[in-house]
Amino acid sequence: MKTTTPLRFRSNSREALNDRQLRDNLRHTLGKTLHSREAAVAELPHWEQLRRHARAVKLHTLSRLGRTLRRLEAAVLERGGTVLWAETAAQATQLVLDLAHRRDFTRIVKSKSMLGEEIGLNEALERRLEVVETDLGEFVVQLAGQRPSHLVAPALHLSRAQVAALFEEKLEVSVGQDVERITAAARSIMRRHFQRAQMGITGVNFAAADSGTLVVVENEGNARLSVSVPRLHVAIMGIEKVIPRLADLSVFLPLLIRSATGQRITSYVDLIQGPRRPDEPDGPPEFVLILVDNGRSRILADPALRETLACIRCGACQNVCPVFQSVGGHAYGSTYQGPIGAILTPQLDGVGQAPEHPFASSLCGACREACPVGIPIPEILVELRGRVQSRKGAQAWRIPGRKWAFALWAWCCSSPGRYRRLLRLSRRLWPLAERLPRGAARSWSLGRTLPHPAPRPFRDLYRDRKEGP
Amino acid sequence: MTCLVDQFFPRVGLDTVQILERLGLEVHFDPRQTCCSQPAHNAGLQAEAARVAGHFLDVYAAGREPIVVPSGSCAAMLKVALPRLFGEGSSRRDQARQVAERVWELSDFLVNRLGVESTGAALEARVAYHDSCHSLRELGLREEPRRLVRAVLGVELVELPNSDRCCGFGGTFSVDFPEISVSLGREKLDRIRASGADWVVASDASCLMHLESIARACGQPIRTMHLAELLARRREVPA
Amino acid sequence: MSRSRILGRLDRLEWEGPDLPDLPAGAEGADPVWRFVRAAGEAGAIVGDGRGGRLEECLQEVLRVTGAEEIYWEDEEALAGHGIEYRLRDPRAFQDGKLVYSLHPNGRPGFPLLLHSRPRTGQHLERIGLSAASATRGVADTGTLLHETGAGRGRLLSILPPAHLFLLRVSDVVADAAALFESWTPGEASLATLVTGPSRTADIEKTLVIGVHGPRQCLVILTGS
Repeated sequence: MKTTTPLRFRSNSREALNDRQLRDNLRHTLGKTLHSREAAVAELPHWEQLRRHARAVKLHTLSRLGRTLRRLEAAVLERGGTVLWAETAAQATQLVLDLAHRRDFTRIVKSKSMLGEEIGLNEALERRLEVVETDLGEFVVQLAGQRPSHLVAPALHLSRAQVAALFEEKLEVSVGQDVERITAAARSIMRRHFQRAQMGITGVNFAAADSGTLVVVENEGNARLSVSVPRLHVAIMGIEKVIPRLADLSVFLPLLIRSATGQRITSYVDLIQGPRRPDEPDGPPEFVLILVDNGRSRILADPALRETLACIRCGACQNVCPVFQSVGGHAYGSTYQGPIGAILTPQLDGVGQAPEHPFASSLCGACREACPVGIPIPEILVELRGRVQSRKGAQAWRIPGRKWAFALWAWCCSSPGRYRRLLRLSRRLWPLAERLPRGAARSWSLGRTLPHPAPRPFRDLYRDRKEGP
Repeated sequence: MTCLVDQFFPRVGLDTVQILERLGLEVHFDPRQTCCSQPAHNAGLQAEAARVAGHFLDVYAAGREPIVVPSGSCAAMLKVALPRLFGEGSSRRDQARQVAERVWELSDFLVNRLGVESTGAALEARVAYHDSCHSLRELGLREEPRRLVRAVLGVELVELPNSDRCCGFGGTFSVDFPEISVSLGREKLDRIRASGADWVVASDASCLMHLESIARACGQPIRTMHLAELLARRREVPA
Repeated sequence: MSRSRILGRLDRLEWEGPDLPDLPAGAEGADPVWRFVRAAGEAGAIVGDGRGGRLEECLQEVLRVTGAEEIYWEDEEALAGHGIEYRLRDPRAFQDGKLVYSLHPNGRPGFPLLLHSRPRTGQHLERIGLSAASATRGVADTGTLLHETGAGRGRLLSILPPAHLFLLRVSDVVADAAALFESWTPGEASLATLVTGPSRTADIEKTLVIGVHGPRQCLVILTGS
């Protein structure tokens, strides 16, 4: 969703660090996720081969995206579906609204879609229609009036006690602190919504151009219900989700699922191939696919950044990221969080909108290592850092004086004489640095003592040693 | 030699020289060298990084001998990132590629180039090895430093849980987001203390400086040692 | 408008990307049926072997385990493929205005358990305790079943009831997903679903709960020889 004021990761993260409950929840839940992912990946000896295959398929597709989308469109039309295109978030939400209005539909069930979050679909629909999130985690987050804090586990930041309290407050059902009872309550509430729903909205994990098949990966069965009960099924997908061949799922499914949840496969992988056929007893008579650009073609135009679009939204980079583990997803303030969010948000919304995002990483590289399609996230972070700092305008986030300081430093470091003088000067000024009210030394000293330069640098000691006493 | 070692931890530099000389190698330190350019590169300031990297290449491009670096992070910068600072097809890029071939992180050089595991060092202690991220992930050095540590006489190597998790330093990250950086460092320190190790050893002085500074600020200092310091350590002869 | 603008931009952006890699070949592991049984069990499904004349016994067991009295089945033509001969039994043919068959597996009276009904409504489906369908394929690696809609076979009957039974011919078991996509391409079905075990969630504290929106029990009976 577009925001008007720049996101402030730094101040949000400070709050998150002080939130004991949040940190306990993150530690508890992410710990479990990490273990299951590790075990699931270790089970496949040819994991690296799968990664290479998937990466090649994704990059191949991105390099000829227009052609592949045309094939997808033709295949979906062939199967009796409708295909609509949206350049922007506003256009996409308007298309959905128009679909409902033209049919006088007012009740919508929705199954998890990150694109839906990105384009602010719920906010746009809720003004005039009833929209119910049907994925348990999404339902919880919707009840809480919040936004998802993780790609795969939207309610990751909440404990069972917090969810139980929410159910009691908003739904007036007593569920103890029992996850089974919470789930049972959600099931029966949701069944009523499904029965009444006229329109079902789902996201798309993959769309196969050769067969016109839309693939939705899920565990709960809410997507199956969303595409089965209502009279109209609307699938929304970012244009980068298309793959050329359905059979590549034999590679993408294990990569996505093992990375995301640590399962071998999810309970359901729905292969949606259009509206119900005349001889089928049920299913939606109408099926509409909405292809959304919303900045993706702009990202694609940038060779240094375009691999970002290979992302399959598994959330593994979030789970392994020490920064995400420390502050959770909400600190990012954006739809996409953690390492992938740190590179995707500035590209989707503009670097001026998320100027701190690319800096919110120690560049430890755990994200790239975990990424099932090998997106070079640290490199893209570094690239975006440069763009933030070279951006002119009031909204750019610049650490005061940093560019100057580095320019001076680079000038000194490119000549041995200047370098020596810089060192001599900085040694003399070092004691002052501690006393400055702001700056790097002050920041360092928050929770750390300031180290002091050695009495004599290595180069002097080495010279003495060489020359002898 | 890395600029951090040069200015803050000269001992690490001297020990690196000593280890290599004891193995019969001739060691040169070119005093014209300055920095590997990583600080600017990680800050996203590629023009500034390229300027410093250019100087590094001017100093080192002429030689053919291996360049040994007692830091996983600087070695990764020189080996992996440096060529990318220069445009595809430029002569600088080719030069950077050739130099990258010659760059070795210390443990990599000892184990994989020289085939050495024991440097004849000795220390009676429980030692925890901290993986620095760039050494582990960019250079793929996991076993090399451990083999060297294990070969030190008297050392018992203890494995830290989640040893591949970042200590939170991250260069400019440590001052851009000091709260997160320190919080990660404290978690690492908790695991170090729980391991019962007497010393923490790492291939990067920067991680150690970060961890040590936090430990001191908490009033619970820990003992840290660079891998080079450990490998150069001789049994103390009683007087 | 949007379409031509988006595609116009994309067409100008084409570059020399990597070639499309060859599809991975399906494995030919030994004894896929045994591996299917193990993997499906690990995924939480209950698997019975109905081969060798034990089909009826298995069906009785399914009723016992689910506590259901009837099994709802939509696609009568598929029954023969599992070795179930049936004939229409008697007066219950019309019930609540719906056409209802009562079937005898293998033609033997006294076992009137498989029902076939249509048309039906959502509310009617909500009352069904156990439904059954024929699985088009089984995937040994993961214990996965492929369910396809088709003539007379809908989407809801396999998802709404609390328990769902798949009949799977052992000759339809393939080794892995790659083998599945080698031997199967999407045909006329408007929805095909890869089903592995029961419906589940771990959305709260990553604690596993079985049976959210879909069936709490996933049962499989192997048929054929």
